[in-house]
Amino acid sequence: MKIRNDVIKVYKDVHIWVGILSGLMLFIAFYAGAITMFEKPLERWATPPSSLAAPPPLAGAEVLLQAVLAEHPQAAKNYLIVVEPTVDAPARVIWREPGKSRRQFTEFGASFADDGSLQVEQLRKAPVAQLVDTLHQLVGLPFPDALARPIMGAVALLYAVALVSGLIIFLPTLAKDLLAMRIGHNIKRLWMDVHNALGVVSLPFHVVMALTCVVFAFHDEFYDVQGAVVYEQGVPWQRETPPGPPTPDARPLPAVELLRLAHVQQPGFEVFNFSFKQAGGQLEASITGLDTRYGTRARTYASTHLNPYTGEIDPHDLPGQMEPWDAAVNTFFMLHFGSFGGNPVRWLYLLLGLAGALLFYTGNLLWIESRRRKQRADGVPEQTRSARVLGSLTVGVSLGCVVGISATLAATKWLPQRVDNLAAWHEGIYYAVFVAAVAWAFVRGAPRAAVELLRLAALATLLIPLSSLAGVWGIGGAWHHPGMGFIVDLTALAAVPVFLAIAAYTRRRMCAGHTDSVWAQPASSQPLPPSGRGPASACQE
Amino acid sequence: MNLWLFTLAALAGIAGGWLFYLAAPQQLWRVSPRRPGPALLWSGAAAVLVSLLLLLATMGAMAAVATWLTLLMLVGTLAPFLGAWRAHRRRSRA
Repeated sequence: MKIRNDVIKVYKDVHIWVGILSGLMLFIAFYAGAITMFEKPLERWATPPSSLAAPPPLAGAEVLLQAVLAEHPQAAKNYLIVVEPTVDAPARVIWREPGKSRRQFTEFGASFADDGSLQVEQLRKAPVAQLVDTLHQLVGLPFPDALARPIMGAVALLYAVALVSGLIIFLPTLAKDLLAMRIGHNIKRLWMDVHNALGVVSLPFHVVMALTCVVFAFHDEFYDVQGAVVYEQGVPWQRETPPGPPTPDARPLPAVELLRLAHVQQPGFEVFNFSFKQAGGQLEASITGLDTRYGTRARTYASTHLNPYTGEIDPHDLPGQMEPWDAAVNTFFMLHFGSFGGNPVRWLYLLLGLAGALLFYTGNLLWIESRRRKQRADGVPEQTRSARVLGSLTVGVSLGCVVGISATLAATKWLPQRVDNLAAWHEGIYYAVFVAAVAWAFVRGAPRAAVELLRLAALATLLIPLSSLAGVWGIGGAWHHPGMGFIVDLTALAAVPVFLAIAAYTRRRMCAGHTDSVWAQPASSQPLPPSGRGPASACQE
Repeated sequence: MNLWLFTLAALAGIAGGWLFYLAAPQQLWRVSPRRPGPALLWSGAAAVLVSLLLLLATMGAMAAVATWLTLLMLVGTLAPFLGAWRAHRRRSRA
């Protein structure tokens, strides 16, 4: 495909500058987003053990509920019966009490102690998984949501522009460059191939991410415009009146029966819980669960109405049974969240997310490489200030995010015994490490800082499974849950040699790579061989 | 979801994506003096088609197509790196 050179040049300039402006924020969004694919397992791994006794069987849920309502009548307003209690939902009966705002609430769980007395505990889900998700949603910005979200939207728009302009630049050389990886002395060519390999084949994934992010960021504004233009009389929401009891003395069906009827009506739908709300003297119920054959609008579950007296499920909110328009909106969400196909697709999304983070990182490396002042006969020229600054910023922000997330995860199993405000501590640890890493990158320079921060990332990530190991031995109040939580530890352990290998490669390049580069060991005054590559002995730590 | 069908679909998708890579003139995995023939391309197309059909048999249509594309994108993204790694090893041995 032929495109005029002047057109290509315009798109190239656009691609470069929108990439430079948004790349590092997108790195944080993608790295944190990749981890967020396993937010629920991470939350379970990070939640301290409950002090409640083992939950009674599902058949005994109603007895427990009656005991709860007798002592805590306010629980009747909003409660759950959990089908399979987990570490983050450790009770058979859980109720929610409202907080200051609509989305804030406190959860309590109940069980029977060995002597048959009622036990109640305020549930404390670990906030660290939510922190990683917030970093993802707000591209790492430490601002209030109202300020950070529009910035995230603007970054997503820049991302979309970068994708379109990048594709236009690539089209004329598509046949020659698609899937190419030319490893040789031309470093710029190499980074270009890596950048293309990471971005071209996975372009549909990136287009979906960019568009969905714009919608998430400007969601309220879109609805305002839609309300003003399409629904001048207001959106005609179809609010269905919940069915009342068939007879005045009718009672809701027991949870065991509701579960049996759910399996009959929705085979393949794994039920997590039944939730009940008292509204206007009516009992409303809904069923929450997951069918991995279909994508869901929420990240880890689907929910729909249920008649608590007959067990009849209203399927119109369940994926696979929606109206076409609802199904289209559902698809939009599921493509962003990767909420289809269960854990195998989550792993695929995690890998594509990490590849996306590398795409932005390599974009910056390409910018630096393109502006490299090459060696002349009279010696090694000093690299431009802008290249040095962007090098330090790229290393500091990217690796600061990596080390910060690992450090705050490693602290998870030590904090609950020592501090009250867990969320503030996790946030404080992340941002302290992040800011320190950025400062370190500027003080030490990009090459040395890259090696040191990668080693620090390996150490901080190694501390994650070591903390769980301390929990196995009961050291310092740490804990370890039996079950699948070990996968979090194994994944962290697998990342350690990867960070060390990249650190070793980066050090080799610093020591023996081109000396006329921001990635070379600084202040080398030794005479250079004709190849322009520094001797390994020039590398001193 | 039928895990056996899903696994077969995933294997067929990986094989198809890989065959597409081997059919590309820029592939580095094999030492081939000639441009790869169309046989690789056709077998790759057959494998990815089988993968899609198996996914459609075990998942909803939208989820099946999305899973299929996700898998192909990941294989297509990783394949050049694996090819380059093998070419590097070949050069080191020579």
